[in-house]
Amino acid sequence: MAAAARPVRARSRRSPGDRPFGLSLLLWGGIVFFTILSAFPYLVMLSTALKSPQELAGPAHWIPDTIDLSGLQRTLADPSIWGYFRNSFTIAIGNTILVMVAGVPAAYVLARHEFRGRRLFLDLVLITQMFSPVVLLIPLFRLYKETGLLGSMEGVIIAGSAFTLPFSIWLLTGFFRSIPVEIEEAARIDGYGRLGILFRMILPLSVPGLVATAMYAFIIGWNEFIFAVTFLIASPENQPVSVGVFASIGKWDIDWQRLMFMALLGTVPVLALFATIQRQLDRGFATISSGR
Amino acid sequence: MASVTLSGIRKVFPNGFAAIRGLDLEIGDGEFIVLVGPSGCGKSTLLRLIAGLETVTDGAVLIGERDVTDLSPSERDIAMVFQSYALYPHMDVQENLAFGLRRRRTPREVIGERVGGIAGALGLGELMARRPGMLSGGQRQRVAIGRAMVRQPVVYLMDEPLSNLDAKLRVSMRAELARLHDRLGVTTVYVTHDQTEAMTLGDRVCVMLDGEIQQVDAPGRLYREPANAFVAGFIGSPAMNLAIAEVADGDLRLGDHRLPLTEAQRARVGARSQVIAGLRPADFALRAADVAADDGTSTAVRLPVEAEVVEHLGAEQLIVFPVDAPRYHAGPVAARTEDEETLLAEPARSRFTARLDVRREVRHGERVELFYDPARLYLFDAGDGRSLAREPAEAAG
Amino acid sequence: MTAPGRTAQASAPAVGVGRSSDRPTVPGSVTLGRSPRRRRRIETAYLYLLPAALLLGFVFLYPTLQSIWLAFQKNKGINDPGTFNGVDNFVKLWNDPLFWKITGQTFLWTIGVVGITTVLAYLLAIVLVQRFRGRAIFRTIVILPAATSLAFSAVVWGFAFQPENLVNHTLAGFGPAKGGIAWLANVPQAWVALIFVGVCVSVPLTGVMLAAAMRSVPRDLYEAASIDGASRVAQTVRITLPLTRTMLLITTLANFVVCFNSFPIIFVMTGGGPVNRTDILATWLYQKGFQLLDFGMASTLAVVVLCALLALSLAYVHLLIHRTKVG
Ligand SMILES: Nc1ncnc2c1ncn2[C@@H]1O[C@H](COP(=O)(O)OP(=O)(O)OP(=O)(O)O)[C@@H](O)[C@H]1O
Ligand SMILES: [Mg+2]
Repeated sequence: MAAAARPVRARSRRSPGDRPFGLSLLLWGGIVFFTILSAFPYLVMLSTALKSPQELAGPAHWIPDTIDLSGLQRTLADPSIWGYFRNSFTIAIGNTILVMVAGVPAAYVLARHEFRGRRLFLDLVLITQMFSPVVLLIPLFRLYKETGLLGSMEGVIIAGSAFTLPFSIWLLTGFFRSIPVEIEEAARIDGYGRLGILFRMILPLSVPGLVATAMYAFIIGWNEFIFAVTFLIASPENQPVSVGVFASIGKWDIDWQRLMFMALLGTVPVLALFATIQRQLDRGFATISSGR
Repeated sequence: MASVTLSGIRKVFPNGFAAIRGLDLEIGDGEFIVLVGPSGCGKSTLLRLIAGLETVTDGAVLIGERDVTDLSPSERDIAMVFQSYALYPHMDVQENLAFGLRRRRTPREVIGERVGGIAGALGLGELMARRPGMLSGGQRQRVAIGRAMVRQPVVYLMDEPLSNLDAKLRVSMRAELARLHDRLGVTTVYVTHDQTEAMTLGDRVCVMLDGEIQQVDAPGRLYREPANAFVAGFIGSPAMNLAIAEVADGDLRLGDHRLPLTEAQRARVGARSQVIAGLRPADFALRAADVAADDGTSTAVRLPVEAEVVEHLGAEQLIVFPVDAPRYHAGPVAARTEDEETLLAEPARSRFTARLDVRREVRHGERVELFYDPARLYLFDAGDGRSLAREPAEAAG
Repeated sequence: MTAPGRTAQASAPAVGVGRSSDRPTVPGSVTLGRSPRRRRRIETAYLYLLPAALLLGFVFLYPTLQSIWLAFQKNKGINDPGTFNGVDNFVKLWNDPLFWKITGQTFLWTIGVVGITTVLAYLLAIVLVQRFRGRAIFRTIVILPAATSLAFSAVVWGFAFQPENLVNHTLAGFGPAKGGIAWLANVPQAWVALIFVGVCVSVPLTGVMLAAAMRSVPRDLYEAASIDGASRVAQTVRITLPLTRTMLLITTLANFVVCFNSFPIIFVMTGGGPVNRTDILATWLYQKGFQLLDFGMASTLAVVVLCALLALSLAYVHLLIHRTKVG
């Protein structure tokens, strides 16, 4: 497979099948391998969610003998499910808003202006990447206890968005940089100040980048787990889906069917989002490797 | 409308590079001034300093009577045409043109009227609803110019506005710009690399080198009376032939050639033992009679040369011949590397170019006799390159 | 607001036309150019950074300082005011054999996951830049795990790894009587399962990032190489690999940090069991803090983990920069 490491576009004029048989075999081997690896958890979810409890209790197998949707019924019938989803959504939206509000102006000045402390700020942001949420749980727990954030979704949002922020700033900075400076200068001459330029030039022109970053923040917020499981342990009414799923495996009698449905419902929306922003993320990644 | 006054301008970039090194310039009200100079000499930087896109390190910028040194671009009431157009990609032509006016709270009807007027004048009528991405290069250029025009500022700044156009479009846009300037009479500072543009558009042309002004003058005067050897070599195409000549018995020796001096020239040369001699390619002719100098003050000088290279250009021919005298270099390296001939030339020898009519075609390697009018010989100080014509001729005589 | 106070500029030389070279500059004159406007611009820059700085300060800076403070305390839980006990915690940790054992396990886990991930992700990237039918679908499927909550992945994998479940069932299809392995209850097997899952969740993003890097290699380099007669293998080794090295370094470092700190997979799948034998420092820290409520010791551990990571990352970056310069 290694032998075929050439960019796609480099071969655009040749037909897809134009490679030696051995390489083709390797390539398709790779495709199948990675597909299975990635799809495995979803296959498990589907296979389990669609089996009846009796079938589940029997020997393991992939294809359900009969499609049984009673798990879905039980999932949808449970009022607490809606709460979980509402909370996941609230946390994801909150995360998005906070990340954008803090990230957009910061990324803008970092992309466009040279000022004292710029390097320092960037270094500090980089250092935050060394932190794991776990390392900060205890002091945050104490801080939240004092400030009354413990048990609230706000607390989870604040902590989560701080962890989402560095990568978002970096993504946004790349998008802002790709807008020619002259356009901003023209707007300055046309009489617009910094805020005017930000709102009338930079933001409209970086809509794809903004959307991608917002979606990224949404996904991270939706998938939030560590802070939620720690800070919301005593407030089940505020728990998101991820904690709901986790909490149900602690019980004696696990309803796997229902759990898998919850996991599926909790995953599919963000998968769709993620597939949408793939291209933008790719563009962002390409800028790092070109060393900007 | 207003004059622009630059006094004691210096610009040092944060990396320590001094792009403008002490510069004074007064641009008259309604004047069209063109900035030229080799790449990297600071033309764009100067323009951006006037615009307020860069802050001066030192010195002051006045527009009219107003000191605008610390004002932002929007407070300076200027309009700029960028080399890269810098059109707003997310707005259509109409919005691009109106954008600057909207900010200034111009009444809606006035905006419509002015935008419509300019669009008509520039032939943008049917493009108004398109975005820049859907326009050709020439159309974008016109929108960029139009965007500056609608604003009716006191000063226009244009940074190589025609450089991305093909030759034909450039000629017609040039004429368009000249017409617009005649009509509106707004002070204009214009950067270009194109000599024809500089000479035809400019009321005055400002030649820069390494962040300093070399000469500011009307185009004709700049051509006829360059202040120094750099300007002499920079203005005119093909460039003036410049070489270092020895002074011998009141005449000049340029390799094997003897160049006689007129009385006035001799007086200016004074006691110097070396000068830089300059001859414009167009001042050579194949017949003595063609050298227009028959007012009795001088007689044509004969120069036997061997045509090393001959280029036939249709209406005229260029011949290149070797001269056994050291080349004179002026300006930064970038300016010198423009033709490879200079790269190949050994420093002890120069190559001169003559621009001749085609009544007689010269062949490669042919030995011909060229004539020139000694009064047309340019003389510069061999040390600092200053023109000797500018020295008081009476000093020595 | 017209022409703010620039009267000091009255000393500017007379305006004129012509050369003005070698004009001596007054020493103080440079500071004159640093106008109030310029200073104001810089200050607004900080204003733009303020929201981000506040958020990061609130979540990172203050808690870090608290952690350091707590690390020198005997503190048993949220209601304990705590008593200062110097470096006792550090000494205790140093003398705790379990600490060293878990540190070893942390490296086993981190190096295992990062190493395998890097190799697989590079292969995935190579596949991703190829042209083949169904590429768009493949790209989407392959990236899915990156968008999935680690908690979900861990729950599902944990379920599948149960002795009577799908992993064993699938393996049984390949070899004779492989079934019945209690993956998560015994030690070497539990590590195999955990590292496997760790690799599965980190390969996609790493692969996509590497593919982006590969795609940005200019195509004419390959053309030049093939004119020079380099085989595809040679092109990969001599062009693709060196030119994607920066990205390779970035992803390796990022994965290292993430794995070292990784929490949900182990927490959900084994909870560190059996008896701490699949714990890493991060899960152990959580246990100490929120199950044993030993805030003091847990903070000490947090400080140690942070310092170790910073030191390792710096060393890694330094080493690579050094190596790059030499090479
Ligand atoms: N932001 C900057 N930092 C440092 N040096 C700069 C900066 N901008 C320009 N320069 C340098 O200042 C000098 C003048 O640049 P400027 O753009 O004014 O040249 P120019 O005369 O417009 O050249 P060209 O004809 O190529 O456009 C150049 O040497 C350039 O490298
Ligand atoms: Mg320029």
